[in-house]
Amino acid sequence: MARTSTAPRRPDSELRMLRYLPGDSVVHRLWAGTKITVAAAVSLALSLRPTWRALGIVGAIVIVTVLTARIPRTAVPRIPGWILYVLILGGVVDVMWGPRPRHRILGVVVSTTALDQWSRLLLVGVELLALAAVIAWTTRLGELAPAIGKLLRPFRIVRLPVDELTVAIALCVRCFPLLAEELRILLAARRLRPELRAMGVRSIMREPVDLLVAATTVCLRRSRELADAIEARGGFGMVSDHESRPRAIDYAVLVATAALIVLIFVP
Amino acid sequence: MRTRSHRRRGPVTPVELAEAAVLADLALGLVVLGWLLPLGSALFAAACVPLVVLSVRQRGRVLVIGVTAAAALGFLVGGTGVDTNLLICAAISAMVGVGIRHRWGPTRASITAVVVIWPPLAAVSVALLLLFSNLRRLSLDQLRNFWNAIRHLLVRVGLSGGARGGDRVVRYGLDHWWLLVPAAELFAVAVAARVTYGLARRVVGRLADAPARVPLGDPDGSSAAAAEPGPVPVAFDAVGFRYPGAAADAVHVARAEIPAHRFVAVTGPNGVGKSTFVRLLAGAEPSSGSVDRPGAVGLGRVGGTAVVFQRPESQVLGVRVCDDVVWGLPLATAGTAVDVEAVLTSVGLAGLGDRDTITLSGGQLQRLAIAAALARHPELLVSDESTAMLDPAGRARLLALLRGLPDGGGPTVVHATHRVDEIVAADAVVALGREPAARHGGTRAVPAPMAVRGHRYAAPSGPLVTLRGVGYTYSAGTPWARRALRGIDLTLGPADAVLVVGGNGSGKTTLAWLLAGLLTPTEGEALLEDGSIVSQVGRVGLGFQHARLQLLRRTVAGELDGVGPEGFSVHEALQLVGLPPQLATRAIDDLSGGQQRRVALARLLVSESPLLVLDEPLAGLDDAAREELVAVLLRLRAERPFGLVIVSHDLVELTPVVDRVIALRHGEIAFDEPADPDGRVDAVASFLAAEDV
Repeated sequence: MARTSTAPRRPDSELRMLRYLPGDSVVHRLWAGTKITVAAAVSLALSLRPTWRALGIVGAIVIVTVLTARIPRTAVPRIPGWILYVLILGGVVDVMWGPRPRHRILGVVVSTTALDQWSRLLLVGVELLALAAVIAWTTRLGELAPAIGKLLRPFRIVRLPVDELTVAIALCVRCFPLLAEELRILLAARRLRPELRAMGVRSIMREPVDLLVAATTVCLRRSRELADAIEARGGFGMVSDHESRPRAIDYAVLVATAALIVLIFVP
Repeated sequence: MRTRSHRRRGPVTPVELAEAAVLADLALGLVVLGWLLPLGSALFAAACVPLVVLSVRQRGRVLVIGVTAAAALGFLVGGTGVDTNLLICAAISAMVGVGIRHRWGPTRASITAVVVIWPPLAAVSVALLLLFSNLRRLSLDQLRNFWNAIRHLLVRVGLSGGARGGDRVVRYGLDHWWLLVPAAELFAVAVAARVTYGLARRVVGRLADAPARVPLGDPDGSSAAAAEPGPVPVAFDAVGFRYPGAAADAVHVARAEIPAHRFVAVTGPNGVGKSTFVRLLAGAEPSSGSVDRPGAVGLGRVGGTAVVFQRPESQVLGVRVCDDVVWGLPLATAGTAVDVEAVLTSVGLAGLGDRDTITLSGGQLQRLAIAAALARHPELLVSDESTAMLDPAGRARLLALLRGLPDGGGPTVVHATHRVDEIVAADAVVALGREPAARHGGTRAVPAPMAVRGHRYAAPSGPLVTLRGVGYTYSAGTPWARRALRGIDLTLGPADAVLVVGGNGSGKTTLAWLLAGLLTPTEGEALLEDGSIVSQVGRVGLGFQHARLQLLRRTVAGELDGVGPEGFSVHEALQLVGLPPQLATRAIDDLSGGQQRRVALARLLVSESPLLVLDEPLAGLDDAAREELVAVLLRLRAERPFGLVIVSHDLVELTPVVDRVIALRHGEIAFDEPADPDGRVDAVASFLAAEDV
C-alpha cells in the first residue's frame, strides 16, 4: 500500500491478476471441479517428484491446454522487473561458480549440476503457477462456488458446513471485484493528498491505520447491505441457476490425468 | 470497543456470512496486492487486520468459513502462494483477535499467539518438508550452490576469513534445516503478531464510530415462519420505532394504510425515517403502536414481502444474471420453481441471463433485483429509494417498471423516494414528517444563485488544462484491453467550469481520473499549465462519488486541520460548504453520506487547488442538500477563480453552475457547447435520454 507517487509511471491502474478469458473450447466447457481436481493432483505429484520427466509431462499438459483453449500470449501476466533480475542473477552466479564438475558449453565454463538444479527448481515454480493460471483463464468465476460445493458434498457426513461454504464462496466471488475497485479508489485518494507523501516516522503506524479503517468501514457497510439483501430473499439457498456436475468428457480427462500421474511416479 | 458479549450458537446468519465473505475478500485483496508490489510483504500485517476485525466481531467458525471461501477464490486469482499467505494470516489474526477481545496487552497477546500458532506451524512445515523430500533437497542444494558461489567470490576479493566463518554457519543451517525453518518461523510469527496487534487494536477501536446494524425485518422470524404470508393490506396505528440506545424515535407514523394492488409512494427528506419505515414493512417489531396485516410478513418467501434497496451493486448477489434470480430460493426447488428467462423478460433483461452481473449498469442491476423479487411472486414489493443512484434514463425505466407491477393483480408496490415526479405517479402517498428539533446540521443561508452570475466571465485567460488527442485503454496490451477514451481534445481556462455528461460506460469517470493525474493517458498528452498532469498529481482536487474513501482521519477536525492557508480555521472550512461548526468534533463515520461528501468538498476547497474535479457530487442527496451544494458551488465560483469540472447526470440542477456542457459517448466527445441555462438543457437531456442503458 505504501507505494509512493514519485514512481514514474504505474503500469496499469487495474489490479492485475489472473482473469477469465471468454472462449468456447473443450477446456472452457470442462466442469470447473474437474479442472480444479486435475490442477491440484498434478501440482501435488510434481511437488513430490520434481524430476525432468515430471516437468516434461506437466509442461505438456499446460501447453496442450493453453493451445486448446487458444490463450493468447498477451494474457501472461508481466512479471515485475525486480523478480526477474533476482532470478537471473541467482542463476548466473550459481551456474558460473557452482559445484564441480564444470564443463565448457558454448564457450562458457558452467557447473552442470547447478544448471540442472536451478532450472528444475525454476520450472517447478513456473509450472505450478501456470496450472493455476490455466484454470483462471478458462473458468468462469460463477462456476467456482457450485463446483466446490459439489466436490465437498461427501464431507457433509463429517458435518463440514458445505452449504454455508458454498454461499460464502459465491459471495466472495461476487464481492471481490467490487472491493478491488474500492481499494483502487482508496489508494488513488491517498495519492492525491500531498501531506501524506511527506511522511515522517510518527506517521508510519498512523497512515496504515487510517487506510485500513477506511477500507474496513467501507467493507462493513457493504456487508450490512449484503446482509439486508440476503434477509430480503429469505436467507440462504441456491447460489446458481445451472446444475453443476461432471459429464462424460470430464471422466475421460480425470482418467487420462490419473494415467499421467502414474507415469510420473513409476521408476 | 464493541466486542461480542456472548458466543452465538446455531447456524450461520446472513450478517455473519456477509461479514465473513467481505472481510476475507479484503484480506485476499491485500495479499494479492502484496504479491504484486515490491516490498509488498509489508502488507502481510495489513492483510491480517480485516481478519482480526472479523475474529473480534464474530465467532471462530465464521472466520474459518470466510477464510476458506476466500482461499478457494485465491487459488484462482493467484495460485497456492497466495493461499499459503492467507492461511497463515488467518491463524495469526484469530489469535490476535482473541487477545484484543480479552483486552490483553501487546506482549501477552503476541506471546499467546506465538505459543498457540508456532508449534503446529513448525510441525506442519517440517512434516511437509519431509513429505516433499525431493523438492526440499532441490531447494537446499540450490541454496548451497548459491552460497558456494558467494564463497568463491569472497575468497577472490580477499575475504577468506569471512568465507570460512560463513561457510560453517550456512552448512550447519542447511544440514539442520529442521531447526532452521522452525526458528525462522518463530521469528516471523512473533514479528507479524506484534505488528498486527498494533495495527488491529487501533483499527478495531475506531470502527466503533460506525453505526451498528439493525436486522431487516424480524430478526427471529422463526415464530412467524409457519404462518401463511399475507403482508397487505397493512395498517399503521401510532407506530414509533427507536433504535437500541437512541434518544428519539427514528420514525413516527400516526396513521397510514397501504391498500392491496396499488403503487404507494413514501416520501420525506433525508433522515426522516424512510428506511426505518421500510424495515417496519419488512417485519421489524415497532417500539410502540401497532402494525396490522392479514398474515405473516413472509420476507423473501413466495407470496410474502420482497425488498429492493438503494445501492445497485450491493443487493445483486449472484455472479451471473440468471444466478441472481434464483439466489436464496430453497435448494429443494432447484431447476423447477422459476422460469428465469420469463422473469428476466418481464423486467426488460431478456437474453442477458448468461452475463456476469459485474458487467451490468446501475439501472440494469436494479431491474435484476426486481426480477429476483418477482421470482418469489411477492404480494408486497418494497423499494427503499431504489431509483436514487440512477441516471435519468435508468431511473425513468425503473419507475415505469415499478409503476406497472400492481396492474392486473400484481404485487402492491411501496416506493420510498424524495423525488416529486415519482410521487406524482403514485396511487397513494405516505408523507413522513420530521418531529420538531430532530434535524441536525441544518441549512445555512446562502446567497441566491442569480446574484452572482455574470461575474465569472471576467476571469483571467490562458489555458489551465490542455488535453490533446488523449485516449485511455485499461489493461492495454492484454486480451482484457478495454478502451475508455479516445481522441479527447479539451482546453480549460483558469476560471472555466464544465459539466461532463454521458451514459454508463461513456468514459466520464476515466476522464475525471485523467484530469486528476491518477491515470497516464495511453495516447496523447494531458497538461496542467505547462507540465504533464501526472507529474503534478495532488495539485488537482478530485471529489470521489464515494466520499468515505477519501476521508482518512478519524474526526472532521482532523480531516480539515492544517490543510488550507495559514490561519484558516476548521470552522471557516465547514462554513464554506454550509455545515455547522459543532460538526468539527464528530467522527467521520458518525456523519451521513451527504455530510461526508460535503466535508470532502470542504477539504478540496480550502486546499486551493487550481482545478477541482467532482464525480457525481449530487448522487444520493435529497433535494435540500442538492440545492445547498449547488448554491455553495455558485458562491465559491463568484468568490475566487478556479477551474471546475463536474461529472454528473444531474443536468438540470448543475447547468447554472457551469459555462460549458460536454457530452461523452463511447469515450469520445459527442458535443461541447456553452451552457445556456435556458435553451441547451433540452438538447443535452434528449441526448442523455437516448443513451439508454
